[in-house]
Amino acid sequence: MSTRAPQAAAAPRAPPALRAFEPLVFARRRLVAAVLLALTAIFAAVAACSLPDAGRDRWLPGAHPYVQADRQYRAQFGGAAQVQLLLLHRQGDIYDAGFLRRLRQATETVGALPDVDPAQLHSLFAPGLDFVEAVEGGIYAGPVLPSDYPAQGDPAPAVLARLRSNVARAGLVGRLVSVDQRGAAVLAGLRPAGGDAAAADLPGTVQQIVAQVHARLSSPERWVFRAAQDLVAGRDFGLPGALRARAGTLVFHRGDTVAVRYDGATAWTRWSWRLAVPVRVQFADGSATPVRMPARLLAATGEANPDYAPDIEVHLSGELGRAAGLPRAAAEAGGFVALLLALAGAALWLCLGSIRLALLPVAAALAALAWQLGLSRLAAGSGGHGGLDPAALAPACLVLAVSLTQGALLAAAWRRAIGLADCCSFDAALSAWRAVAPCTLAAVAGAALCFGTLAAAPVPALRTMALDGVLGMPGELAANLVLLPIWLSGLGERHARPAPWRALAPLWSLPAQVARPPLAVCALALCGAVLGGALWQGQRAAADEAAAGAPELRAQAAYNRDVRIVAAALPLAAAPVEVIARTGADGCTRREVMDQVDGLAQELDDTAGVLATRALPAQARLVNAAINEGSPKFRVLPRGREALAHAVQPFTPASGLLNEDCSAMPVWVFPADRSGATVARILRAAAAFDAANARAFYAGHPGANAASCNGSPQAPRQCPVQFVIAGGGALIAAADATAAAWHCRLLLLACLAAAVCAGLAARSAGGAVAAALPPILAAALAYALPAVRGAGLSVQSLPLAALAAAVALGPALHAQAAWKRQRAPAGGAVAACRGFLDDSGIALLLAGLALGAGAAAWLFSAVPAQREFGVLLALSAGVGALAGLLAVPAALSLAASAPRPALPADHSIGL
Amino acid sequence: MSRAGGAMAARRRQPLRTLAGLVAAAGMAFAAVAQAPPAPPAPAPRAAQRLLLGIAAAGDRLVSVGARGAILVSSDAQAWQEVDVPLRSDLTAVSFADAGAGWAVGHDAAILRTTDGGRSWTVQRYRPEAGQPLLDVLALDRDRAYAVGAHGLFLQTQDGGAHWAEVQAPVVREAELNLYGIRRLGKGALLVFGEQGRLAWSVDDGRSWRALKSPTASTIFGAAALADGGLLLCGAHGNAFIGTDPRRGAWRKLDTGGVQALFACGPAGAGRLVLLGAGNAALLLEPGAGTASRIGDAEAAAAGLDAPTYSGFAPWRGELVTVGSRGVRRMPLPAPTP
Repeated sequence: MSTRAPQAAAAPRAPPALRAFEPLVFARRRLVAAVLLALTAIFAAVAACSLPDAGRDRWLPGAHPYVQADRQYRAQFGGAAQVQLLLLHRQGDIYDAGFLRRLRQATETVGALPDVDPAQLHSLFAPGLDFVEAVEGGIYAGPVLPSDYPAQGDPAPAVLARLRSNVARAGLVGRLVSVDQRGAAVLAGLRPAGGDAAAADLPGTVQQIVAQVHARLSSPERWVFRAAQDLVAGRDFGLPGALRARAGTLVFHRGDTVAVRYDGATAWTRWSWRLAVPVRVQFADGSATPVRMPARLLAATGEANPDYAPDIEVHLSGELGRAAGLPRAAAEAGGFVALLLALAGAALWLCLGSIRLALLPVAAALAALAWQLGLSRLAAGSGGHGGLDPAALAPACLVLAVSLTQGALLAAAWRRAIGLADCCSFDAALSAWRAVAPCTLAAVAGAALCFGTLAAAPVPALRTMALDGVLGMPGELAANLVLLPIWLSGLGERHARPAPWRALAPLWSLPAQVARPPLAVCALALCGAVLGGALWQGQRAAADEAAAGAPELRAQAAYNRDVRIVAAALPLAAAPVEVIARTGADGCTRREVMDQVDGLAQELDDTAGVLATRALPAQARLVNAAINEGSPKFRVLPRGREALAHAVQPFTPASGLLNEDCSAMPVWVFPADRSGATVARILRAAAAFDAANARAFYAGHPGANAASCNGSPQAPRQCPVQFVIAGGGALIAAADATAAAWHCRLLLLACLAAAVCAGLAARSAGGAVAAALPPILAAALAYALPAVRGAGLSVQSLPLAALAAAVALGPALHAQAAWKRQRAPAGGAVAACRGFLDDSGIALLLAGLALGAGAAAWLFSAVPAQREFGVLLALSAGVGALAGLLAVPAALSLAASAPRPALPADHSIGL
Repeated sequence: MSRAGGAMAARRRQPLRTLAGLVAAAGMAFAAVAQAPPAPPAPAPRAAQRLLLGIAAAGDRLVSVGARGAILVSSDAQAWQEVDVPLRSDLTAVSFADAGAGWAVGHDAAILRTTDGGRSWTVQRYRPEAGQPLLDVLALDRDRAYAVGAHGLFLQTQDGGAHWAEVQAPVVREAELNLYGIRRLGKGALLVFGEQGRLAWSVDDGRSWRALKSPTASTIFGAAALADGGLLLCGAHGNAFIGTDPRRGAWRKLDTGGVQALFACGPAGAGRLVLLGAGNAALLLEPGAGTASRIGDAEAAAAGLDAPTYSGFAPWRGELVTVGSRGVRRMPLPAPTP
């Protein structure tokens, strides 16, 4: 690579707008390349600091009333952030000494985790679990776990029998004990850190539960790590900033047990322990921290696991449980990016004949990806998300696709320039740059514009994606318009080997017939038919109502299987829908208010598919009866304020039935199944009751003012109870509604953006139509994809159309530009098309093949969103290439009324 | 059962809904996809499975009353139809003078009147401000009825309910105890029972009342006249007594084998007695036997606040129809032992 730019006399002149940039790229190549590579390294380092972030919140439409209610009340009722751990006894029921010992162990382990809130720990062995019953003169509360249940050793059969009857008394079947009494649950919520449960370490907690509870019961072996020497904090291992003052403390003596691990089933984990072992260090004052202890300081021994229980199954469900499946999915995504690049490189090698030449576009794509990830991370800031959401791969896909396509076209142009003019590498690079750069610039800008339309949808994750897509532009430009030409200019001419496929060139005469008017009409009619079919199919897409669990994971993924098992065993453990009654302070001591809440609970109870509801009025009825000698005739809400206060007095906010000042009372709804159809029915019933209740209230209170009641967060006393909907199932419904509303709109926006870009680039009506056709086709196919594949429409599939349009736009612009250059006066349309295909056909096919081959690898991903992106990328690449080769010339040959003079051959970019 | 049927029906409707959605979506390209799917079929009301407190036969049909003003009517004890009721107070008891005329009473001192066997009801009395629930009602004929309630509330009407007047019976009312029920003992004799084992009777159709010596100091929730002129009582702590000669205070305690409160008791035909109460307690006493045996759906006895609790019953075509916290239940009786 020389620092002085040699004169490239043979090269055509670049358009005036780009001419100014030529010296920037080619004058000081070594310096420019060094600066850009340094920036790439910095961005890569920044990107590497990102952690998997599977925050479901980002995928929710923040302005939706369900989402707002959920955010407002989540901390008060702690509905969402719950882990449900189910221990199932394979042989017999739970009233077995061995099983209960394991259940107690699991409860203690989960309860001791730093982020688990002890107040939200529920299990037969959790403290404070009482049953209540009516006795002479009132109610009696006793512990479910009999007081003579031994702390050590096995309980007597009589104690187990009493436990069984207490479980029935406390109504725990379906909530903490499975319906068939073969399993028992440990339910836990995260410690609210500053009132925000999301601040606690969610994936970390799940990993510890998996490692310490699941593995402990299911691994026949365990690994004990003892200190090989005295271990001093700060000297032998690092400490986090907050605990720096503890440096110098002797934490373990030689021979002390430092850690016991049960999760060494995979060779990979055991290998990782040869480097460092995750250990929890506890200081004398109670402060503790996780530490990665260097393996050289420890002596490891494998031994039989005394807690191994092959007759107990462990299933993990809940919001926390969901986090368990995602870090692995994120790691998988990284693997698939690598595979995509490798396959694309192989395809390029096959077509270009030189491995070094093939690697350059791949390296450029990698650099562009590093820029995009780094810039996104920086844009998100330290407090923002910026994590790698395994479901939010679209921007990365976009960058790779655009970069690989443009890189492949530039590499092909470089090789052709050397072959045609037999010139030096530098001149060829400059010539190729001049020919390709305008189109690349248009393609990159167009892709960003198409993808940027996602920002229109009211979903934070889509807005972040749109921003990330736009932030991919600098990287794409730096990599493909600066780095890649510089690399090409330094590459030896010997790498421009003759095309292996050159012998096949005569075959182009066959597809060239598409330029004949009848065939051109047929081709365009075919495009129209595909477009119409795709639009018709796309309309059929509906939310996947049967889905349960994490839609971003495969239905057969272990987590989703666990969700189904736990939901069947513990139908009353977690409610997917809660309807919160907003009443104004002390609502629960006002009969009129309680009556309305009771009416809602009854209405929901009557809704098809609802198994049970849980709400304060029903519980207050029970207490009132208990106060009156248990007589069912007193299972009522007393009219007097004092009597009602008595009836609700046993219930604290920890019961989940009311908040601190009793201004909000949730009605928890437990459906028989968690399908979207059932949840939707419940939501409709709740909304209908809310409206009818308000009407009835205003009819009965002529003085009440509807205008002053609406919208106030806490209804004043002369207002009907306001019912707002929250809960995980409702959030999914809100997201599905958004997906349904924006599915078509985003398609139209993406098509509009593609058409605008095509029009600006082509500057003629025919050219614009021709260049816009492939991206619109690709977008329509992406729009139809969820329906065609039978997968449900979800918010995660919303970016597909924009992504497809953005990916297919580049090749279309290139094809249109190449055709414009090629169109010759003599020989007619077919000859012109033949020339166009001869020049650009292989390049376009090559770009499509490289991307399609890489994207096909994603089909094996465990995350449906990733598989969908794989299908979509392959599809868009294929459509981009095919439509570029056939539809663009067909459209242009029909549109072109006056032939243009031929441009010099060295303008062409083909092989 | 009905819920499973509903779910299946919903599944069967799925293709239809999809088709409807498709047609709508194809017609309106842009906005249609955002529309909600059509409403599902109206759910079957579960009123017959919710808290029901009283039941009575009106000719050839059964009428049951319960929470939130629910009144259900059935002619076969299987299919129950909810009728329109002009109030939402919890109803505790129902009684019929004949196949047409009857009363239902409940909380807020509510009294409802029907003259068509329970198909339609009118409110005769509603006093929510008093805070005194009515707990039982007894229709003597089309014009005369008594109602008892909490804190010694004791009402009567002589004109079909046009006027309800307080009964002057100091022996019953002075302590302001809860009165849980009123029964006709035959030959113009009436019995009132309630809190603290309170028993009072009248032999002149309610014109004068006298205290009766009670076998217990705890609450009596249920009572019934026996064919042989005797009296059956049941109440708190699983107490149950048979009065062979109540006037002289001759009572025999029955062994019910439990401490769960019994809220309803009475003859079940063939000389047998049935006792129903809290914790899913359903007991049958064979004639002459000292110990009660458990009947019903053979569920284990349960405790806890939300355990199934029976509140009343009506003998019906050789079996019992019970009401309680889980609604109406048909309970076949075992064949009588010879």
